[in-house]
Amino acid sequence: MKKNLLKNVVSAVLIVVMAALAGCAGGGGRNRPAGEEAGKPFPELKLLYNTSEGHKKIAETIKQMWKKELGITVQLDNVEWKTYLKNLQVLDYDIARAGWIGDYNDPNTFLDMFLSYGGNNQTGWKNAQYDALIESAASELDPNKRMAILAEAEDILINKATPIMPIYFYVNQNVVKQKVKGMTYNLRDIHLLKYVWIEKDGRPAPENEQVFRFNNGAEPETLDPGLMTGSTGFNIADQIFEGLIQYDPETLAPMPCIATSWDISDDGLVYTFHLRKDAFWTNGDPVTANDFYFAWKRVLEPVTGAEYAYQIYYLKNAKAYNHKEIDDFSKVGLKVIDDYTLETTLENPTAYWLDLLAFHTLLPVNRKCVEKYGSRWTRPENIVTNGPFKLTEWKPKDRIVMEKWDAYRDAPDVKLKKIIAFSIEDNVTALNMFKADETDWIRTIPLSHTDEVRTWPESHITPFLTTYYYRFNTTHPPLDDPRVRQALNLAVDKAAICKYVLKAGQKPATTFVPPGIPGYKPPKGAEYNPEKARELLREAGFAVNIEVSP
Amino acid sequence: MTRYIIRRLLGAIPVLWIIITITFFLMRSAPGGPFSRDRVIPVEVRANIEAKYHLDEPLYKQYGRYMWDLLHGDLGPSFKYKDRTVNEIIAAGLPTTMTLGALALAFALLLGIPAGCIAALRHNSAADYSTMAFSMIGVSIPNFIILSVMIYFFSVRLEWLEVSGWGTWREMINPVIALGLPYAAYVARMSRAGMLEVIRQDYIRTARAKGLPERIVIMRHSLKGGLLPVVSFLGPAGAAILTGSLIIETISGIPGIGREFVQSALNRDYTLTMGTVIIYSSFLIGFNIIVDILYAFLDPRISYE
Repeated sequence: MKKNLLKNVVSAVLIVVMAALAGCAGGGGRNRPAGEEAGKPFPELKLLYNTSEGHKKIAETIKQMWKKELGITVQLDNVEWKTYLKNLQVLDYDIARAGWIGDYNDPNTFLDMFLSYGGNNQTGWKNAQYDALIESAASELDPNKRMAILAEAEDILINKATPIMPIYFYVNQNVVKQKVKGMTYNLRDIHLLKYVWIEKDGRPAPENEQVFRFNNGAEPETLDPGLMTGSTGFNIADQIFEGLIQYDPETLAPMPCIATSWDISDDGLVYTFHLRKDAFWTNGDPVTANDFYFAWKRVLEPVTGAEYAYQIYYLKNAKAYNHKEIDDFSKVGLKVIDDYTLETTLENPTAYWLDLLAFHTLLPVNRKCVEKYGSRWTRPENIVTNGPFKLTEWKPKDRIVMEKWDAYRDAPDVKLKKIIAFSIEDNVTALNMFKADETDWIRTIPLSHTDEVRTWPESHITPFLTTYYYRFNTTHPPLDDPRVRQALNLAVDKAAICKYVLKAGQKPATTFVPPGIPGYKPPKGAEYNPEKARELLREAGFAVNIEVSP
Repeated sequence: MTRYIIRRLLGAIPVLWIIITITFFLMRSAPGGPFSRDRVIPVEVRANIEAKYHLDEPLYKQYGRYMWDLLHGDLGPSFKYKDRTVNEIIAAGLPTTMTLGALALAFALLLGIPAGCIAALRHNSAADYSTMAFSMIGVSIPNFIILSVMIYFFSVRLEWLEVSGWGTWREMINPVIALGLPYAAYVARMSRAGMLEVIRQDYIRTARAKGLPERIVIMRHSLKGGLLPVVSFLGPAGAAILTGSLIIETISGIPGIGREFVQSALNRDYTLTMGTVIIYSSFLIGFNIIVDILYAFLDPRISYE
């Protein structure tokens, strides 16, 4: 014991002395005045982000890293959300934060953003080879080849051209009371509450105690599946509507739901769905192929003004119809063969078409109800649904109450009697509610509390199909030079950001597509390497003058 | 008096019109719009949506359409909450917000006026100093700090009250007190200052010299004049408190209209912002008229005949 202590003291002293000597020796040589290195001075850049504690902390950290490793000065530019969006759209920024949530479990939902003509590109980056790869992947039938093509495209995106800098992959932090059983966690944070129950004394609680309360984050913009665009609506729709397909609660693999089976033509273009005959609406009508036809036609109808209409553009001529280029809906690749058979014809063999069928925009709606009540059809007193739960109360900005629908075909397997979704916006309030046992499930933990909450037994941290990244404006010099963009990327220690800033188990990102998509082997991304970053910057003609503290 | 009131009400119309017009064009000139999104909406889809909400028309036409609908009492559809109209959102949220505001205001007056009067009547006593010290603290501490501390102790630690919600007394106590406390502090300071000024007046000395009991001197003769500053404060304060508080409503999860004053503008929900601006300006104008009328009753020097 004593010997060890002595050894430690001696080695500590040695290290200090050596460090001091090295500092003196190095200090004399390396501490040269700014501007000594040959090359252009690097201009000051602006880093745009929308107001938020988290974005700010990350931006400040990266600013310091660039200063320290590359001697680059960055100005933080913090604006409100809509101004931020406007600046992105008109490319009025140098570097901007961004995040992307995958819509379906396929790399394409990430990679097609950066098509030269993609509306979500917003970097000014155009690359014909990249476009060609994404387009050829869209018509590739062999799944392995298709994934290889997409990986090749991603290699261009992250390693060769680098119009973006991936920073980290999100995690879901679901904090759930331990009495709640049957919750599953998946890459897209989708939760079907029909699998959930409340436990008491080691067995399911009595029926009157099967009440599940959760925090939905905010007031949903709408409960109309055709119009909804955000998770607050999705979380409700997942319980009260059912589509042709449903995701496996763990793997997200497409599973039969209203469609019990389907045939796919050899060219991958025509899907024929066979619908179950024991699915009903809450008004007693059977759920038929006509309901899907009506719902999808409604979304594509220009007057509906559905923001997510493009989720159905995979259907032949659907885009043209929505864009008013054709006005004959019979030309759209959607056909009712009979009440229980629906045929879809696609523009391209879309490998993830089955995945998309569970997306909320493609959920069926009841024609009678929609036509009778117009924009008021989603009110609890009017709404007609087909899922395991029905909407019984909607107090705006307060709560949404759903109750078990006893006539649901699998009703005996649905254990929850009642679900209450609170529309609480404030994350600290939500956390307080959880502590005071007023809610059973919260999912957005304030940054200031992640350290505390992550150690709780109620906390479940799992990967999420979402990437946090920075966009480079490739039309602004010096960011038009890929070497400069790569240098900026290499100089950021993403692991340190995850460990010291985010602290909830987020993973550093070297690729844009998050890990975990079945069949996809992403290219190898660039690891943290400040030395190489400085080399690249010098190669691009810039002087690298970093301050070395004496 | 009736003529005065009518004249004031008629005078409010152009004021309101100017506010509405300026807000309309200011909102439209803010960067981005209700449908600028994180996931950019394709141009053609955007065109469909803009046509649905008449946002594709020239601005003067949109303005004309809005004013015409407004004259018919229609505040239009909300751009953010697609299943609701602005009329419905206000009808659902305003009563809640006003209840919260009225309770907070009542709390502020019931606490502030007696405290201020006692401080004035016991001038330079321990009661005076402690009241003023507390009111100084009340004025300085923002209401959301008070609310957060109250929630932490009474709801999370002791579990006497609810963390959030609105309806039962256990849900209402925290936000009402947090919203009312800073106002109570203001009211206490103002009624103290007002009372101090009045009780030194000649007519109070006369009343006392005539041998009137102190209770009558205070209640009948001093309060009326002493509370005049509080009454003029109540005009803008009443309008502000009754139209709600963004922070209190957000922290306590109260389904009121207060948070829409800020949120709807950030969301570029043009129609909802217009609706909240109309509500707030009407309240402000209305309260100021009421205050001016009250003055005529309270202050014999003022007459509108």
